[in-house]
Amino acid sequence: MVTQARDPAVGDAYLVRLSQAEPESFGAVFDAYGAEIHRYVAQRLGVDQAEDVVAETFLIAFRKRDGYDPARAGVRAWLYGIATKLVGRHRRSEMRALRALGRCAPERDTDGHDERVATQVSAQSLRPDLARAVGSLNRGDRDVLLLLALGGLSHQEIADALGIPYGTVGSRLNRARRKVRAVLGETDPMDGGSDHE
Amino acid sequence: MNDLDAVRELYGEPTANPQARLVLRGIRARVVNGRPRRRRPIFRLAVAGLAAAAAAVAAVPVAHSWLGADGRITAGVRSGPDLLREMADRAESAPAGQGRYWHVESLSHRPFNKRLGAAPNRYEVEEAEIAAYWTDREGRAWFAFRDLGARPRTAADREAWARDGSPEKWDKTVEPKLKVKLSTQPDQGHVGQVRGKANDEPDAPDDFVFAGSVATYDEIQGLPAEPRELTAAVRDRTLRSTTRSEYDEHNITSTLAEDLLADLPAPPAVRAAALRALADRSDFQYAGPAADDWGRRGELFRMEAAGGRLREELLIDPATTQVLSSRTESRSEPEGPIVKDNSKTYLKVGWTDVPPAIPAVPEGFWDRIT
Repeated sequence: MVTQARDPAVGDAYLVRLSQAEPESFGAVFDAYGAEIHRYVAQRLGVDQAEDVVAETFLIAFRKRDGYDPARAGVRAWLYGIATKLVGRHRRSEMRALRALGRCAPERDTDGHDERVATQVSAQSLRPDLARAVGSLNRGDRDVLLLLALGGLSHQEIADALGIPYGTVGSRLNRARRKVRAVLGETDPMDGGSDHE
Repeated sequence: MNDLDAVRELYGEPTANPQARLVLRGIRARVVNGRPRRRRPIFRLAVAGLAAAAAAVAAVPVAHSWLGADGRITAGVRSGPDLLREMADRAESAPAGQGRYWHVESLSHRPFNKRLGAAPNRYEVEEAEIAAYWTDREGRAWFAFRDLGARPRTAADREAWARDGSPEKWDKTVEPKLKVKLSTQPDQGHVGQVRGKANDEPDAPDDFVFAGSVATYDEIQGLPAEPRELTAAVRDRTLRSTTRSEYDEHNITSTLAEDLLADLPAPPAVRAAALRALADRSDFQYAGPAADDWGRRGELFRMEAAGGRLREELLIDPATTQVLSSRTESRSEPEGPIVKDNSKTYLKVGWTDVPPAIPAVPEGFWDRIT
């Protein structure tokens, strides 16, 4: 599942610049990224919580758009960064959502490929342990893992989004993936050696 | 199974259903239209303005519709690049500006995006506003805004409006749960110091917007005075974002034209360099002499991007090299209907010692813009 690249017709920095002149044009930023930020937040907090958090993400982005610096982060990474910080304020909701995910299968993806079905079957029995493992990560490690796995951000984008050094992304990711792989046990083809990547 | 796949599988696709799309639309309405609509801007308007020659702020006389399609534009005798280079020579020898504040005041108007009135008396209105901006050399900034109200757009709209009972106020639900208030009358206006910047340090000196990010007064003064170096600097800054788009080249041109000729207190040598750089930009097309809403005459230049989905026009006074007016049209499809049509007139541009205040309502402006 690779996150769809945003519409290239939407000029990132240009949009933010436009919205400095005309607030309504910030709508284009929402149209470009609203759906994927909503998906990401709904995954982490549940659909009910997501509505307010996503609205707040974009309102903060709107208020701070003058401070948006394309030199520091792309608009997408910038929005993921804001959303991730807000998610961090809802730790209890996140833990509740994770427990729910551990108990039952989430709504199925509608584009179901064959290999995904196989994946689902093998993942099914591991769900409770997996949810517990993700829940046991410290917040910084979990943010990095989920920005990569759910948001599809690159290491550099994650560094930009969270305002942390590039190297820190790698070390947090290693720590987080090691815990997840421990749950997956023998079924992990990357097991053995890949921890030192 | 890959560990990342397992994590994705765990989280699933909670928003892969039609209901989530409805929720998303609701969020959009809250975000994009839910805030007080241009009523209390706490943001920095990407200011306009310029004219090194205009050492002091001069109020401009007010006048009529310009812009392309009506055929009033005649072919210029000189080529666009020649004109721009002549302007550059003039800009270069202009004295540097003096005064306490860099000040830009502009009047914008655009069609309200919903029809008003009860069927069969439906009509469209045009809304107008004035925005003004002051920045000092230390990076303090003040912003003023005044809603000028709305009027029926055309004679036919006026008739429908009269049949509808000539309402002077409108509450229009533009999205579910979202109402926009309009009035035929200007509001009281608002002026204040700009606070709450990026870093939440009110005194941080970063108050100009240049090529999409904030720049200090000193950074603007230090820009290259050689056209190719200036273009390279603009390109570098404009394209810092990691993702490329079909607007990239346009953004470079519009930064040279709008940021450096209209919005920012660029020193005379940098203005001259921007004009010379524009002479070499193939997407900055000369369209001939024209006049703006206020009867001010100048030379019209056109920019087009994204296969015609974005069209901009700038009217420049060749004597002062000041941008007089601009118009931006956006379409979803190159030949489709216009989704955004914004006209802007620069009323005051330059250095001034007059402290920030709520802008006056220009007398008779509706007659000029509609």
